[in-house]
Amino acid sequence: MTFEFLLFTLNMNKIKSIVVVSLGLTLGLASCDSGNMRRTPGHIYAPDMTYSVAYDAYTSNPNFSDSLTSRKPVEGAIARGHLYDHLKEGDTTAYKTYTTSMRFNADELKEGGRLFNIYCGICHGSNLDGQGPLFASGKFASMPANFKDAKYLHMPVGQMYAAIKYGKNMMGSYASQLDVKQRWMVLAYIKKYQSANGGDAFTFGESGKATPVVVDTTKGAVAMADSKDKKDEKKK
Amino acid sequence: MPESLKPLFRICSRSAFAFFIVLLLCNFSASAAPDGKALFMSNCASCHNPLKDATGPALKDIDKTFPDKEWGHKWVKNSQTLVAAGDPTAVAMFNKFGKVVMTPFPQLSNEDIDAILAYVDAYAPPAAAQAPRGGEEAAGSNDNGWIYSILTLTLLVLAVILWRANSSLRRAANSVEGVPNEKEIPVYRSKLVIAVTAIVLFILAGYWIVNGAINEGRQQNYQPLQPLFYSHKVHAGINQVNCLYCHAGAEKSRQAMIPSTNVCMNCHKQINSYTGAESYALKTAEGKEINGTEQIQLLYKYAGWDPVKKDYNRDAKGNIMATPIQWVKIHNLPDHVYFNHAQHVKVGKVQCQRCHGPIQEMDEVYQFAPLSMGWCINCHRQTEVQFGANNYYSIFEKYHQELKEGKRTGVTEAEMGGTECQKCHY
Ligand code: HEC
Ligand code: HEC
Ligand code: HEC
Ligand code: HEC
Ligand code: HEC
Ligand code: HEC
Repeated sequence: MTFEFLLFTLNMNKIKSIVVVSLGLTLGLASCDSGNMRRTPGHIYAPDMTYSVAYDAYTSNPNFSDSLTSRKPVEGAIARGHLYDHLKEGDTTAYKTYTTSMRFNADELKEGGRLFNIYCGICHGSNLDGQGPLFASGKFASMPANFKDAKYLHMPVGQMYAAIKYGKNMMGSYASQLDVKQRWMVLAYIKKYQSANGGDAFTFGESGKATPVVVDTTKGAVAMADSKDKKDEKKK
Repeated sequence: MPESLKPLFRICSRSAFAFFIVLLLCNFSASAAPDGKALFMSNCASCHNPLKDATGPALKDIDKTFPDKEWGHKWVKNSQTLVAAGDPTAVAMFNKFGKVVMTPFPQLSNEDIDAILAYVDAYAPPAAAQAPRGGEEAAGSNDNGWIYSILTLTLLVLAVILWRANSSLRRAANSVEGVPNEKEIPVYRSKLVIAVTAIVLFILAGYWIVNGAINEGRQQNYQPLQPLFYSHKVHAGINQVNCLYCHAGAEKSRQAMIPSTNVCMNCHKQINSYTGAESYALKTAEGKEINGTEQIQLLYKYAGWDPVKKDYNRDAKGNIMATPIQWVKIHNLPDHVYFNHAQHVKVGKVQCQRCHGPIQEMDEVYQFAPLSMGWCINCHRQTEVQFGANNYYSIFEKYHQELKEGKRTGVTEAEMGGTECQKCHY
């Protein structure tokens, strides 16, 4: 009603200008609305309630010259609940005999397979044949190891462990992504797959010629860590 | 056949014949290759690429650089005998590739080696993979918005014109009939107009202020400029890299973790250029073109990698001279809220995309969810926990009983206490 009245009172010129202005406004608004993208974070009420006063994982830290809060652990330190290995980089004779006393049940082998597909499959392929998506699409110059190949079928597991921990040729170190137990789970998965494809007999299964864990502290620590983690997660 | 078409026909048939011959020839020369391909893949591909330098040099046409054919056989069978004998070509190559010893292959016959070299000489790069077209849909829906607003506007203009025509006609009719036209009251003096405008303004301002106040401190759609143009679409989308490959902490800790440069270098020791530019060109949200290869060179600067030497720059103590990339943090929960990734990703089995949106479609990451308290609580009310699979929940006997009796189909996170204040604020 009022709208009609409003228009009634205007002459043609004003209508023209209204049309122009509203056109401009719509176009203007539409162009501002580029998917609501914003480059600035905006304001906050209470910075001291929003930003941690204590140094948090990603905050910069004036106490160190490189201002990183997340520090590298001191050489040789063992995080609580984690395992340690005594391998030294470059000691290739030690690699060959290095192994683990851990044995894995079916669930852990499945977990090893899942981890393999996340961290290794992108290069080595989910069929373990070196034809991962990155090589198959031609992004990689050199072919990642084909675990079904004779060269790797009988490779000592310690040598493979060293490749994960320190990297080899074009492969980088995966120590920052996989902890010690996860590395062995992945290796157990590979060795199981290889033994089904002509490799050596699989010895990391629980029913294999399993030796009881010798370093009981590590085993205890793992068991403890597992239950502790679960508790923590639930508690929160 | 019309006279004018004859020359054309001749050309066509001739070129078809030539094409056929070429095809035959190709087949012929390729018939030696399959054997070479298999040998190359199983023995050499781990260090060599036909076209690019890898651990060893690119092998396509390398046999043209040999002193003679015999020399190539000797090199592959045992390169170190040539190096030890001081052969200049061999020594130069050995030094150029950082004195890496090439595996000797005494088991390969001369024919095998010739087959391998024939295969690499005839090698052609595979056709570039077609990029998935996910982004197009979003653009499509934008277009729809435009069409609707233009349509509305035209209708509006039309209505105004019609109405205007109508009223001038009425005025004209009035003056013809001698009926006096009503006196016009200026709009700004009309009480009705003033009252209505005031009420509308009041409501709008109230809505705007309350909404603005609620959203103060929230950062939905925040998409900062990063120090390096790193595209999730290229990595997690087109090249199918799993989120956990880089954000390994999401299953283990509160933080999902931003990867450090050593993780990038797992792949980028080899991938030193962005070759996907034709199938998928990189652009910032403002539409500025980005050169992916330059960005990878920038990554090398941060990582302390020398792309010419193909090794890290190290200080006197042997430490890699890398500097961390200072990414701008996008998601920021206030410090008075506790959020844990492992709890949601590992225990709750919630997909990253439910909270972070289509990350694998984004070049630059933006904050998809509001991260408001209502958002957390809503999901806790609607989402069922992994009740049966989790031993920890065995103590909730009542729920288990009800599940068994068929009284309920699942247990939501809210029923586990996921809406209690101290679970998130403490
Ligand atoms: C362990 C990695 C490795 C493997 C496997 C390997 N190469 Fe090499 N190759 C190298 C390296 C490194 C060089 C560079 C010279 C050097 O450092 O010894 C090289 C150099 C060469 C050269 C260049 C010699 C010259 O001076 O022009 C040829 C040809 C060659 N390789 C052929 C082959 C063939 C054929 C195979 C497979 C049967 C093969 N290589 C397997 C690492 C390897
Ligand atoms: C190749 C490594 C890599 C992969 C794979 C990857 N990301 Fe990222 N992600 C990064 C880097 C580096 C950053 C920091 C730079 C940025 O924000 O763009 C990041 C940032 C993020 C952020 C924003 C963090 C913040 O600042 O708040 C989210 C959310 C995220 N990634 C989720 C994902 C999801 C979900 C996937 C799987 C679809 C994924 N990422 C895959 C490397 C990766
Ligand atoms: C799993 C392997 C992998 C990892 C890990 C990886 N990239 Fe990439 N990156 C690729 C591939 C594949 C391409 C595409 C190359 C092509 O298409 O030629 C690429 C392309 C790029 C590009 C050019 C395109 C773009 O997104 O701008 C940049 C820059 C880049 N990566 C940076 C990084 C950074 C920074 C990291 C570490 C957070 C990283 N990459 C980790 C595989 C990887
Ligand atoms: C239940 C919702 C939810 C899920 C599922 C989720 N995130 Fe997050 N993510 C968040 C929230 C909330 C934040 C902000 C945390 C903060 O500021 O403390 C965040 C922050 C991040 C960050 C940046 C800061 C950090 O914590 O390291 C990254 C990277 C990230 N998420 C990646 C991922 C990846 C990868 C996945 C899947 C494996 C994932 N997120 C699954 C809600 C979620
Ligand atoms: C996509 C759905 C979803 C969103 C969004 C979400 N959560 Fe959750 N959250 C869950 C699920 C599912 C669980 C149950 C995990 C389990 O089984 O323990 C959970 C559990 C939790 C717990 C543990 C509760 C308990 O019973 O111990 C906390 C704390 C929590 N979430 C905090 C948050 C916060 C803070 C946010 C918002 C920033 C958030 N969540 C957003 C799905 C979600
Ligand atoms: C699932 C987790 C969760 C639970 C349970 C929860 N909150 Fe929150 N709360 C949040 C998050 C996330 C924010 C931050 C919202 C933001 O930044 O806008 C928040 C913010 C707040 C704020 C600050 C005001 C604001 O919106 O920023 C108050 C006050 C608050 N919560 C009170 C409570 C009370 C009281 C309860 C119990 C009835 C409760 N919360 C339960 C997650 C939770």
